[in-house]
Amino acid sequence: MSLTKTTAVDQITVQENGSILYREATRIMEDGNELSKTYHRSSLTPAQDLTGVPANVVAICNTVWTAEVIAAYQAQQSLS
Amino acid sequence: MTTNINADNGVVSGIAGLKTSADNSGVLALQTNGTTAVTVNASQAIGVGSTPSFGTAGQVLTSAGSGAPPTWATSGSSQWTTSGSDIYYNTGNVGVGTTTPSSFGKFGVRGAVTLATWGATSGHFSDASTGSFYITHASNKVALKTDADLELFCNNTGDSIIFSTNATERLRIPSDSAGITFPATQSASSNANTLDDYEEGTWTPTVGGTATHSSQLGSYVKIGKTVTVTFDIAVTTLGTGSTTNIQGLPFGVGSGAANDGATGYFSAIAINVIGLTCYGAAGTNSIYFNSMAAAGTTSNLNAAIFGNSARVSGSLTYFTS
Repeated sequence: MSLTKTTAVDQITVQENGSILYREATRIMEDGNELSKTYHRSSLTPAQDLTGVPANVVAICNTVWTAEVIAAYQAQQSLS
Repeated sequence: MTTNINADNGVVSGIAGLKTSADNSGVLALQTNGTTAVTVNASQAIGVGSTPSFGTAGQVLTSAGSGAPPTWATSGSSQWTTSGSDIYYNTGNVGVGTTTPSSFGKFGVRGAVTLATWGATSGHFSDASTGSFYITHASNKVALKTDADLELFCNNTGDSIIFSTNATERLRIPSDSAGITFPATQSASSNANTLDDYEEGTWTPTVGGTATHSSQLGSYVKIGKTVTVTFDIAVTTLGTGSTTNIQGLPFGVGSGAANDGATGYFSAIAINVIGLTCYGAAGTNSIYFNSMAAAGTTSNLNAAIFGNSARVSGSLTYFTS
């Protein structure tokens, strides 16, 4: 019997305004069987600092956050 | 065609004929080629062969072909009982593809079974080799119907009862925990009467920028498109962080609805207030605050409450898009 704990990004969502939502799933496994699973969600807005963000999420952000997307998001925020 | 029977008592020609016994026992024998072939005794029993064999009760006469006389033999027995147009077997178990039908119950089949009617497959039971069991039908519907309870069992830990349509899992009942489970990734429905998601977890509230925090506690429950979050955020040093909003909501805030919440506790915020509420700003992942500095009729929208050491806790319910 061995217990293992893994955390992985299992969902990445790109919103229309360029915000990136991602979910990290932490699983406790015993001999291949999942004993428990918990979620932690985070959201990132265009041009936000990506320090500490998982690499696969950073890759998505860098693809989505073009200069046009960042400018549009900031323009939207200034109106609200 | 005429058949001549020589009734010469088997003596005149010595070849063939009907032979009657010389005594009064009433035995009748039929000879061919000088040898008795068939004997009918005084009890009307039929014997075959030169030394008549009358067999035993239940035996049937079995042909040995054209080169030898028939013999009496025990017929193949059957455990099936015929009753009119029905047959039945009432004392044991029946197996197909197995030598131990009792391990299946009254009737066991090891292998696939197809039920067909009008030339079309209407049901299919498949075993074993793949570890799966199917009841399938190519068209129309498969129905389980009962006039009492209908129970579905899944006994092994880690296995589940899974409901799928269109090759997509929609709902799951795990065997090792109570309740029902939706797919980990929502399959969103546009139907107003469809519950399509449940998820709970944590999130990290932040004021962003270069701010540092001494507390960033957040939790959420999502039911369908309704999201309820709790938060407890304490800023150590604000830096370039926002003075007005908390960022990082786990789901985007939808538009077209008032997504309001409440604060439960605050301390060391940047302005004096007598009341503080919050709301999810449509089209963002942020929580903003409305305050009242004194009794009045209108709250102060997007109050700048955050500064060094500010702490706020509260909850918010909103619709995600």
